[in-house]
Order: sequence, then C-alpha cells, then structure tokens
Amino acid sequence: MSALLSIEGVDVAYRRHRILSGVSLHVGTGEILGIIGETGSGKTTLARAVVGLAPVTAGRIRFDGTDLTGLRGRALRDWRRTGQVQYVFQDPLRALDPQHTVATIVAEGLTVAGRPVGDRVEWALSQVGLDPALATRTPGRISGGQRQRVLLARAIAMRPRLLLCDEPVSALDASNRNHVLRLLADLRTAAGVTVVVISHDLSSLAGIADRVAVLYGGRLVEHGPTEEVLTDPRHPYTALLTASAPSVRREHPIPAARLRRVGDGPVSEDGCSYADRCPFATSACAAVPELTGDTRAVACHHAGEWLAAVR
Amino acid sequence: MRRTAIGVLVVVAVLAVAGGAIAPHDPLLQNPDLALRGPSPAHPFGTDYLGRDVFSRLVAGTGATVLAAIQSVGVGLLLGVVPGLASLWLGRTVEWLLLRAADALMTLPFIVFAVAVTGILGNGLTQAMLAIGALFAPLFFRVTRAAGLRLTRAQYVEAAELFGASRTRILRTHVWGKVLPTVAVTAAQATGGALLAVSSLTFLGIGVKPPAPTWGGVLASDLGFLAQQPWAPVIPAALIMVTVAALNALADHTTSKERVDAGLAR
Amino acid sequence: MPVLRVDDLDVSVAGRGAAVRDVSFTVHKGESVGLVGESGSGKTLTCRAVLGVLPPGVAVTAGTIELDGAPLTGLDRRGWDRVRGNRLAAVFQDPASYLNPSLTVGRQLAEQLRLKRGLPRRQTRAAAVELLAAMGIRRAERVVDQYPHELSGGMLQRTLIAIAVAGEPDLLVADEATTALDAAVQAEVLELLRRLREERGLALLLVSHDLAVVAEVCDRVVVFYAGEIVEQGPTAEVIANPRHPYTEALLRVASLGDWRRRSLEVIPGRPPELGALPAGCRFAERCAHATDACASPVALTTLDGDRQVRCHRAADLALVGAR
Repeated sequence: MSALLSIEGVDVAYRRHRILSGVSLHVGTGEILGIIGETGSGKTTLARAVVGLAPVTAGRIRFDGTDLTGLRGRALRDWRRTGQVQYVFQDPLRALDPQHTVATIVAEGLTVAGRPVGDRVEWALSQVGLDPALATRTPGRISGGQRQRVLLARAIAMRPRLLLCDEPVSALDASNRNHVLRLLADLRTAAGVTVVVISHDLSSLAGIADRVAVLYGGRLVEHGPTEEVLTDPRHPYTALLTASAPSVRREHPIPAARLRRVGDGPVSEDGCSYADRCPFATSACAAVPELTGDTRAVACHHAGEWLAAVR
Repeated sequence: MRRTAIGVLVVVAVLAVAGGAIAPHDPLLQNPDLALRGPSPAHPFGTDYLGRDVFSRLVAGTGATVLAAIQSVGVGLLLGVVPGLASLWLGRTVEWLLLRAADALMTLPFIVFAVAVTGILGNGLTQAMLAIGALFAPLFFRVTRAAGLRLTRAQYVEAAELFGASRTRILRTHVWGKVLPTVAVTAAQATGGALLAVSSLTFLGIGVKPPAPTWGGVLASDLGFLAQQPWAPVIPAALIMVTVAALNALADHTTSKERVDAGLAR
Repeated sequence: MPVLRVDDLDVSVAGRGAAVRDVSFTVHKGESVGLVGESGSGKTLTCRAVLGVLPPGVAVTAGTIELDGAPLTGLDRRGWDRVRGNRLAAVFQDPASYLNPSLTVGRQLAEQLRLKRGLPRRQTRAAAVELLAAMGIRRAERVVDQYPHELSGGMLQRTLIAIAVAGEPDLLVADEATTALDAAVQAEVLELLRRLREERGLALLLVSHDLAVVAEVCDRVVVFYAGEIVEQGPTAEVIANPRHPYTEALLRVASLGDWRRRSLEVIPGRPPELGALPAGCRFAERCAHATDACASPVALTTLDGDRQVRCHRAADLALVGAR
C-alpha cells in the first residue's frame, strides 16, 4: 500500500509552546487510521497541521507527493479549492454558520471553488443518511446527531480523497455513534476515501479502524494494526487506555490500577513525556525513547519488560 | 413601545419628505401684527416674534433637520464600518494606526469640532454634518470591529478558509450578515444623537442661514421670548425628545430581541 | 428504609404532556443505581426532579420522591436548602461551570466545610487538603491554592466531588459526571465513586447514556425509554440476561471491551417525540420483536428476583445478553 499522506518528523509550536514533537506517520490509500489520545495530547493539532491550520515549525507533510507544508497564499488557496483533503470539525454548533441553510452549508466548498453544485447537495445528504428535506433548515433547527452529519456531508460533497475527522462521535450516544462510524466505513468501501478518525472511544474505533496511532504529550508513542495494538499494547499508556475503557463486561486482562503510578515519576524536560505518570519509569526515561518498529511501532525504553511486571 | 416608536418615526419621516407641502402657512411669511400669539385654530402652536406660524416652521424644518442627521450618520457609517472591517484582516500596523485614529477622534467634543469645521469650510449644514459624521466614525469603527473580531475566529470562518474562500467572500457570506444588526442598532442610536447635535448647532445658528426653519432654530427663537411665552420652547423641545426617544426605544428593542434569539439558538 | 424512594413519578412539560411517566425506583444505603437511556429518554428529568432543579415550565405532576423517608416533592426553598449539601449532593458534566473562577478551589471547599460541617475557620484548610487528598488528588496541599482554570477536567471533577461529599450527604447524584473526561481519567473518577460508596456508605444515583459506564459502577440499573422505565434490575443480571428488546439493543451498541474488528450495530429509527407518543408500547416502532399485541398499553411487571420489565412479550422472548 502506497502512502497517500506522509507526515515526516513534524513539530508544531505556538510561540515557544511546543504541541507536537517529531511526529512521523503514514496513511495508506483507502486505509482507516484511528488516532487516540487525551486532551492536550496534540491529536487535534496533528489533523489541523495537515490542513494548514497549525504552524508546522519542522518536518514535512506530503499528500500524494505534494508538499503541503510549503504552500502559502495563492498556492494554498488553489490547493484547498481542489477539495482533496477535508477536515471535519469536532463541534458542529461552532463549525456551522447559524445563519446559513443546510443546503448552503453543504454546497459551500463547491461554490467557493466555482464548481457546479447540481444535485451534489442531495447526494451528500443521502450519503450521510439525512433527509434532503432538511436542506432548507438552519443548524439551529436540527438535532445534534443531524448537525454532526451535516458537517460530514459538507466534507464529502467535495468528493475528497482524504477525510480527517476530529472526534466525530464524542457528543453522540452509542447508537448514533456507531451510525456515524459506519458511514465512514461505508465511504471507504464505496468511494475509496482514506479516513483518519480522531477519537477517544477505543471500542468504536476498534470496529472500523485498520490501524491506530496513540499520541501522548505531543509525541507518537505507539502505532500498529488496531486489534494487535489494543489487545497486546506495548506502551504502558496504551495499556492504561485499554484497561480504562468502560465495558459492560467488568473483567479487564490487566487492572487499570496496576498501570497507574503511585506518587510522582521522574520528570525531565527532554525525556519521555509519559515518565511522570508511568509506573515503570526509571532513570533511563530521562531520554526521549525512539519510536522503533515498522508496521508495529512503540516508543518506550521498557517496551519489552514492563508487561512481565504486571502479569 | 415598539409600535409607538415606529409610529413616531413614520410621522417624522412623512414630515421630512412632505413637510413643505403639509405646512398650512408659509414658514417664512412674517406678520408683525400676529407676533407672539398663543395657540389658536389658525396657528395651533402659536406664532413667533416675527409672527411666523410655529407649526409650519417645525413641519417645514423637519426635512433639513432629519436630512442633516442622516447625512452625519451616513458619513459616520462610511468612515467607521469600512475601516472597522478592514482592520480585522489588514495586519497589525494598519490595525494599530486605525485604533489610534479612532482614539484621537473620540477625544474631540462634538459641538466645538463642528464649529471649527464650519469656520474653515464655510457655514453650511452639510459641512457641519460632515464634521459630526467624522466624530461618529470611531463609534461605528469600534462596534463593527468588536462584532467582527469574534466572527473572524469562528470555526465556520475557518471552515470557509479551508475551502479556499477569499476574504471578501468570507466577509460577504459569514461576517456581514452578523455585523449588520449591531451596526443598524448603533445607527439608530447615533441618529438620535445626531438629531440632538443638529438641533444644538442650529440653535447656535451654525449650519443654517437665519430665515430657513429648523427644529433647533425654532427652539432658539422661542427661548428669546421666555418672558412673553414661557410655554413655547416646550413644543420644539418635545418634538426633538420624542423623536430621539423613539430611535433609542427601537434600538433597545432590537438589541434585546437579538439577545433572546441568540439565547434560544444555544 | 431506602435512602431514596421515587414512587409513580410523573414529570410534565407545560402544554406538552408527561415527559416522564410512572417512574418508581429506590436507592438503598451504600447502593449504586444507574439510570440509563438515550437523550430525551427522561433519565435526566427524573434526576433533576430528585434534585429539585427542573427547568422552567417543567414540574412534577404526580407521584412522590422521598429522601430518608421525608418527602422532597412540595419542599419550599428553605426546605431544599436544608436538604441540599447535607443529605443530597450532586455533580454534573461540566465541573468548571459550578466553581467560582475567581476563588481558589481551597476557599470554595473550605466554605462548604464551614457551612455544612460547622468547622471553625482555622481548621478548614487542613480539612480541605485532607478531603482533596482523599479524592485522589496528588499534591493536594498545592492544589488547594490553585484556581479552577489551572486544573484539568479530572481534577475539577474530583474537587466538585469533594465539595459534594463535604456535607456528608446520604445520596450523591452524578449526572453524566464522567462523560466529558478522557478515558483514563473517567476510569479513575468512576473508581473514586465506587470507593466513596464502599468507605462512606454513600448511596449513588448515576445518570449516563453509556450502559458500559453504568455497568462499571452500579449494582442496579434502570433503563429508560421515551419517558418510561422499560426494565430494571440487578446490573449483572440485566446485562447477562436482558428481558426488554430495548435493553438488548443498548447492549449491542455499547462498548464491549472487545478489540476485534466487528460490524458496528445501530438501533434503527428514532424515539417517539413527546407530542406523538403511541398509545401502546413506546418502543414497538423500533422493535424487531413487535407484534400486533404491542399496540395496546403495557404495564411494568415484576419478574422473579427483583426485576421489572415493560414488555408484552417478556415471557416468550429469548433475548441475547453480553457474555
């Protein structure tokens, strides 16, 4: 599988404050990649960096060979008008203009690019399972789940090749959540769209993502095939996440309590970002661990050892 | 309240457009025999010291007064809203310069500035109103900027940028419609202020040559004869106050309705 | 005697009819009960009726709510002041909006300790530090002097729980209290709630749209659908052996702690609107097992072993649980 999106050693910083450090990630054509991380881990910033909404201070982001990091002004605008990469915001209430109708919103990308709208609005709405009759309403007059889908319809009306979805389901209940995720999976099969989904809900990601990447403190700590990473985590943080996921069955292979640190861990400005919370941290963790491995990668000095301590 | 306000403004608008035709007497016709008379069927508001019909003078003076107020607000809008929107995107230097210019203008007192301008550009209502308008500009500048600033950081504006939308397009489709109500409300309030300013200036005799009737002019001439007709200034003063109050009431109503709508949308 | 007893409760929206109908359940000392359902199912209104904080235009129109045997329905303002914080406390989804941004969390907690526990001013700071530490906040002696904006969502929620339990209430209501938290933090806060229940004998009423969260914490679960209870019983039994098709559907869409690729299930259709409730079973329209009989009204019937279900076909359906 060739990489459609290549993120190579990307740093993002606002003034002196660094949000992402040396993130490298490749997304293959037709793949669904899940990105997991807590608030402040940089997962939203990573997606925003791809579409040019976050200041990339080092590294390269390439889409199908085009270097996106170098685009400025006119070139950036022309690139955006192609609509090949679409970013789907997290909060539909904030990302939809309250004064516009659903039809205007969904057609916006096409109108901006000067492309014919035709029946694309109806098509996009039906793709996300919305009644085309909603087209004349404003966002304030539809339900939360419907707004989420309008957001998605606006993106797919551009017939993108890559869709970046920021927490598309965090505000929805379980049934609606699965509905939206299924839509993303269907888009991939039907239209060959490559999808990056940012989510904190491991269980739903597990249903659709081919691979997952785990971010912690602005660094990539683990990535690999979804089922492998979640059933056999190699990074203590991934293990904590899987052990913390609520489940209707109460048994967890490793109790979350054994993956939490009691007392403070070694804190070091330029060490492993997780050391402070990691129960397995040692003096070795004062240095940043390298992400090692190819299809299955982990950044932990004790990747091979910690599991034995909790088993 | 809203209906009363609109009613008042409609009457004022009709007087402004057709005042000369409605006036029962020639507002300039002097009749020394009838000087300083009280209300009568022929002269409902009485006559002034030259025997001119006060009712006709007020009705005929509406046009000049209202036009002057609208002129000044128009000038204020032009000089305020355009830079206000421009300052959102034109970078820090332009923003800084515009903000300082607005501060400087705001420190100038209305009347004194208008007197100075008419002193330089010649005594005429238009000149005076240009001066007043220039002083309104900072108000519109700040209001537009404040409303727009919030919007340029809105996520739907970001979304439009991601589609490759130009700034003018974003201004037109996402910003303008939301700034407009605020600007309209401010304009209504400013018109009230402008009416007062016009009246004050014409009261002082600035902007109009003496015989031409205006609200402020009538008030001024009535005040000269308080001893004979103590009630007389009440009529032009009430006219000015009621019109200004109607504009303010309408503005307040629109603002509070907008707040309620915004609350419901949440 | 149960800590909380809700009997035949109806909550109505002015001009639109009963949004919650015929709701009865109890919470005993040291027990945790979960109310679960989709948005608009009536679980939140029920919980707000218990707290006496219904939105304007919404009111309890029938039934009783009793706390420690004393009625809450019909309490006046001063009556509520005596109950809230002392015997009844609550935490919500957005802790930041319940704290004063211009006071340190220590000040706010101390205030509560002074008011509710009558501690003299000198002792409140130490008590606040101790209580924060008991909530699992690290470096509590530093945190007391911090302002709400300096704390993470998880820390704020722990602080709010500390304030809630400062008055040593008998019942703690948690309304979607962990929904907005990150997974690892959510698990910690749920553990804290479990511990408070065990150590302090606190009764817990947990409201969540996520059946998995309820399953992690609650002894008993009450399933709401379109304003009615459709099933209730011990959590483990309900999950292993649901008796209502809606519970079965919720289990299918809930988080299973299963990381294998699978097809994501959905519950087709939407719940009925308040103005257009069917006369019969309210779930029938979306139910895979519905028959003609389901068009007639259905009562909540008690089954063996402390379980209740509202389904015409409860006796003859073999539903699939999570196991």
